[in-house]
Amino acid sequence: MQKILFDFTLIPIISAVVLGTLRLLLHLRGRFLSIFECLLSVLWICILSCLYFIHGDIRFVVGGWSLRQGVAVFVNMNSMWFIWAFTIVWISVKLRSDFKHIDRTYEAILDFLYSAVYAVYIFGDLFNLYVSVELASILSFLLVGYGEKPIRVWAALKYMMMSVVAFNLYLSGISLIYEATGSLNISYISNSGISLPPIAISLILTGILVKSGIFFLSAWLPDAHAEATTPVSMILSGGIVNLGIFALLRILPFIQQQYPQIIDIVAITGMLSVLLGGIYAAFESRPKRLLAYSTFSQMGISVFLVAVAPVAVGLYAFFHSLTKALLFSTVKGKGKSSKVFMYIGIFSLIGLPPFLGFVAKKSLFLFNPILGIVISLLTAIYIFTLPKFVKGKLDSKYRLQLSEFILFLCILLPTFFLRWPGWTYLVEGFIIAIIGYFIAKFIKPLPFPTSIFEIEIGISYQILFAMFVVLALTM
Amino acid sequence: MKMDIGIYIGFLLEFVGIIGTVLRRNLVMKLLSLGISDIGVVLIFVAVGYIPGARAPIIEQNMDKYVDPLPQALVITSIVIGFATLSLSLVFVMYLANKFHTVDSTKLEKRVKDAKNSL
Amino acid sequence: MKYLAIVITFIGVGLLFAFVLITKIPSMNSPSAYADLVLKEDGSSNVVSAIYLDYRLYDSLFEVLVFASAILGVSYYISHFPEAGEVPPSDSKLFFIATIAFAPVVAVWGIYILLTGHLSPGGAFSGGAIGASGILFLALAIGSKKTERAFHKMHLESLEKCALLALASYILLGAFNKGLFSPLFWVGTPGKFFSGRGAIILNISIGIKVFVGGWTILYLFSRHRESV
Repeated sequence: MQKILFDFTLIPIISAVVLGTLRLLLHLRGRFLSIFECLLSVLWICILSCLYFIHGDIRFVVGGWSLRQGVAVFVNMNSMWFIWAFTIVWISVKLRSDFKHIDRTYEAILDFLYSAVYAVYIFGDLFNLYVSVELASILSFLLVGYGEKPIRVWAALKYMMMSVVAFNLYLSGISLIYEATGSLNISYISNSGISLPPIAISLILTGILVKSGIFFLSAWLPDAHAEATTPVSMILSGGIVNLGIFALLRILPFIQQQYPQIIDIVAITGMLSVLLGGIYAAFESRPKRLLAYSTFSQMGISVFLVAVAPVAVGLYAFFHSLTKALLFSTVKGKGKSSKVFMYIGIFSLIGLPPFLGFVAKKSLFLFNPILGIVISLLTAIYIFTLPKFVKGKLDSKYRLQLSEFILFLCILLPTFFLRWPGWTYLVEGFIIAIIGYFIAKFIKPLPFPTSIFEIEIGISYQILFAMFVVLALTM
Repeated sequence: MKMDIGIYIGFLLEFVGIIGTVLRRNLVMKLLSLGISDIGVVLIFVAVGYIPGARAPIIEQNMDKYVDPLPQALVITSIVIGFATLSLSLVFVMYLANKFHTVDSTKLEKRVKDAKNSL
Repeated sequence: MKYLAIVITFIGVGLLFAFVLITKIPSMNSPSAYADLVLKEDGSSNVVSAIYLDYRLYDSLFEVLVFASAILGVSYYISHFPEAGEVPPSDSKLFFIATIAFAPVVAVWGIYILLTGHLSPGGAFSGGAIGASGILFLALAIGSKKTERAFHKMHLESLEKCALLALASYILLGAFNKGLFSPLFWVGTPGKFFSGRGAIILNISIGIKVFVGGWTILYLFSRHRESV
């Protein structure tokens, strides 16, 4: 009986593939099907959530094979946060109507993307992680280039080259781990206690961090996120960069058992990304590029939290996905409601009540209050420079975007079901926001060098980082 | 005893490919280097599964020593993914070369930015 | 800046390679365990085929999706720049006769490898690729236009999607059947043609996918060969 229930964890993958293929086969492109898909995905995720809350962590091997042969499913609390975040962003992208190039290929790509990302979050297998992340990346290359502008294709090409190098490193790291342990299953590896070679750890860590949007390593990020069309930017910043964070969350525990110093490396990398991304964002004048640099900064916080407080990462990634998708959606919006939603996104990113950021930033303050204040102030400064650069005439017709409204509801509502963080955070948050607002008024845009985001230099960072990690693990 | 030399050559090929990607400015050359890098990874996997004196993993009578079949199954996947990414990036390079008449990455970076600013 | 990047890459790669050389990994894998399990549970003689069509079927599903999305991307982006025209039929009589004679042999060989993937080395990917190269021979002989027209009549593009649909529905049926991908009596006698659970169905559907996809990519690249 239980096993039949568990099969519901696998059905969303297949149903997304079937629907996407049917779109291509039967030339379907109606909005009716999109709405049906959204409802179906919500239904599956609700079933999965019920299963999770009844049963706790879901662990089984697909097909009932032994742990060493089959592909294992492992769903825990973090998976649930990430799955919900991606589903909401995906639905809001699906329901957008203002995209000029919508055709069946685009919709089918989105369907396949859903199955790939869902698979990353439920399978606990190193090689399956590689395949599904690679599928998600290939689909996002296609999405970045969508729309007939050369700069988009160039951004997609850069993204592709850097991530191919990164995932070759990851794959060779896996092969060494397989030789050492004889298995690719993550829980098997962490329980076996066999010593893993430092070179394999460093290669895997590099490959995953490149995908997760860290300042130096993910040099593809600003171009890809800023130049893509708005829905694609939403799904990249709100969904695809989370894959790297989740993979890091999966593999870090078993590395930590043998090499405790890995925590320091990951935390320092994350902190560097927070500061540099924030500084780049504060002096940027193009709105979408500002948001891309802000993704660097927020992903840095996520990576930092993976190292110091893994329990809090799920909520933080959920909050960041929805907020960033809302901001990307509204900076190009024409309606009055878009402007309102933009300010809501800004408030949520700073961490003001009653939005989700208020609860999500608490773990940062708990770890170190001064660090929390500095990071929140940096966030407030760069995000308050955003409204200065958002131009565009307001359309007289008041049009409420359904996708923005969904994102708004999902930022607002969960706050009331989570624990109240306390009044001190509220006061702190307001003081930080006011100080940030006044500092942001005096900041003038300043062009920083963007040549550090070129292909060759991006690849050399990866090699440098891998070398550094190997040295740090052996010393 | 494992076939360590295969692993070493595989890593060597992978790293040579990465160096080529950084060193060459021609995008087509960069793609060829990425292809070499892919081949290196495949070689590492095959070498990891190798056992001296063992046969291919096809079950026959009176045979009990096979090489490890799992890396070979994984290699199929990684070859297909390498083919997919390379063909896709080749199309991207063709698109850009058709628009800007160059495959030099430095020039392309400049021309793409100029074309965007002039609009 | 770029010279610095090159220097860093050289140093870093050298150091990483030195670390690979000094790392001694004790090998833990014991592959012999697979043989008995595969005979009992799956029924394929080819252990590799048993792994990627049964034990790790979800890997194969994503692999096929990667292939499908590459085809989608290539055919979407390649339509944005001018064509160079079709490949003309060959002028040389000798070449024409040789390729015409050779193409069916290669294609049949591809089908054979595809169908017996669970018994001998081979399988869907190799079989599909061999078949596509056989059709390439045909296209070189009679010109790509005629070949494409012949394929267009056979509705190959729909067939390709149907193959993906068949693969997905096979896995979907498995998901309702306690996670086993096919009933146990499909295991059959190892070594006979009808064995290996769903190996034949899967090999055929993935093979069609690879065959049509390979031909599509070859054809599209050949049509845009001199346009850059």
